[in-house]
Amino acid sequence: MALIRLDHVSKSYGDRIALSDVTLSFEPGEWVFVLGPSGAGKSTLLRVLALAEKPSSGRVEVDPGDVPGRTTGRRVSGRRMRRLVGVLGQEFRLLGDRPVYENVALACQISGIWDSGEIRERVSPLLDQMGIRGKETLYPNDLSAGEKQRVALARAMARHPRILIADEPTGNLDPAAAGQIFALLRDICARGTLVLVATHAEDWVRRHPGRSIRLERGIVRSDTVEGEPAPQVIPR
Amino acid sequence: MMASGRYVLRELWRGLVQHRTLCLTSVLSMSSILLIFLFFLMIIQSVAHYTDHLESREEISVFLNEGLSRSDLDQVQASLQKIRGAGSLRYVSKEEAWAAFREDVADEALIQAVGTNPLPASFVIRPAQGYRSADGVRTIAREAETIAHVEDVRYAGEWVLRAEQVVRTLTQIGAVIGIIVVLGVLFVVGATTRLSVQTRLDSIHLVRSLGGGFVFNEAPYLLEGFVLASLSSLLTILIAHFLNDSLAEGLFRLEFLPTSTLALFVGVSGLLGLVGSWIAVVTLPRKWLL
Repeated sequence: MALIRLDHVSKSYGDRIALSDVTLSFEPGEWVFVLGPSGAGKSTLLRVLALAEKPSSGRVEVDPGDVPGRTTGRRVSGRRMRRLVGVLGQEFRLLGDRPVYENVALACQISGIWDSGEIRERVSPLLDQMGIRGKETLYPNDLSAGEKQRVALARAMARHPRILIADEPTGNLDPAAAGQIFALLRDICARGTLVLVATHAEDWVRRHPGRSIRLERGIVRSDTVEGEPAPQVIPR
Repeated sequence: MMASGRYVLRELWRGLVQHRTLCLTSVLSMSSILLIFLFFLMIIQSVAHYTDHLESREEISVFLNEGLSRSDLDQVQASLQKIRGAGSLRYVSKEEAWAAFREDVADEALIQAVGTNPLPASFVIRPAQGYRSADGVRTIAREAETIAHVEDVRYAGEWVLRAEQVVRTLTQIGAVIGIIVVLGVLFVVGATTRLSVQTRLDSIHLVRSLGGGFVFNEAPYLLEGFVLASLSSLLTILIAHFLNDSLAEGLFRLEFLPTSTLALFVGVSGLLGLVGSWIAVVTLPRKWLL
């Protein structure tokens, strides 16, 4: 079973159609770019994939795996399912009133992990991986933009999500910091997490080749892997 | 459970400390409206007591001759009960009348001067509904005067009956004002807590996006609304006490509410704060990280 599958999904806001009859399937460990001009429907697609919005029509199927709190045979709530997904936006959205460590630990607590030892076991390696070890006690205002995005990435990964969705993750970063973020995202993908990145910057697509889905006016115009057409999982 | 409880308390403390100016403003604005409400309650209580006092003045006292036998008393009682419009009848012995007098006067020197109990026994007639008017009371009193062994009949003047009517009208007006004040309290508490929640929209949206449940999304804000409104009601009680004491030195003094009512006032205020916060949180539009 695919990790997440969209089956003839459409989404509209009033008269405006944001997504039209989109059928896509994603596997664990895939590296996927979502491309297209402004208004193409990239953010809507990501919100639907992040289970933050319900489609107007069509189905979104997610393999819940071992989502925390799942009881065998019972439907998993949307809120619990959202915990399968890590989200990274252009804006860092860190809580300015608490230090780096607490910002990352909050994601663990929301997942139901309250034991401080267990939280430390999860957070510390992430801080190492993101290169922000030693900054645990600093507040977001004391960090550079690149460091803030790395804290946001650590927070997104603290719950060991199976899907990581990044919407213009380097939009507010200088090229050096952006390169570091992409390197971290590739590293996360290599560990088996499905990573979807929406971006305008085609340069990063060339530097980090993978699957590219191109949207235009809510319609999937192309779905290719490093220049080759990707097999359609659900035939239309 | 314990850990999530600690988290909620820590968030509450964080919210109160970081937004102390807003919290203080909230407490003061809630206190101002609650103060109006508390004074309103005090006025209602005082009016109710005054009405009780006036109602006692509607009664007709039928004083009896000295040295009546048991059968004489039974005869008088039977005659009084036959009077049209006489509702309830209560016998006040000489001893009971003397005890009540001593309590009212509370001046031992005066009581010593009076010496032995000079007060007669009496029957107190409470007019039935429909006879509690100046004419009704006067008619009952005139008929009572004709009964054997009755020495004198006394009843309150017409002004008492008119005053009671005024008080009843005031109470009805007060009830309408009370409803308006309660709605005002709900509005101010709700608006204040909503303002408090609005200042933390970013963190609320973030926590929701991360899949946070009741402990993260609602509990700290509900508790904050409860605490702020409860603090406001306590401050209100202090201010009302101070103002009432100050007024007492000038014009008049209202009866302060009993402790049980004050406790209820604090509890209900806290609940209003909680409801206001709940409305503020659940009506927030959803906004995601993406």
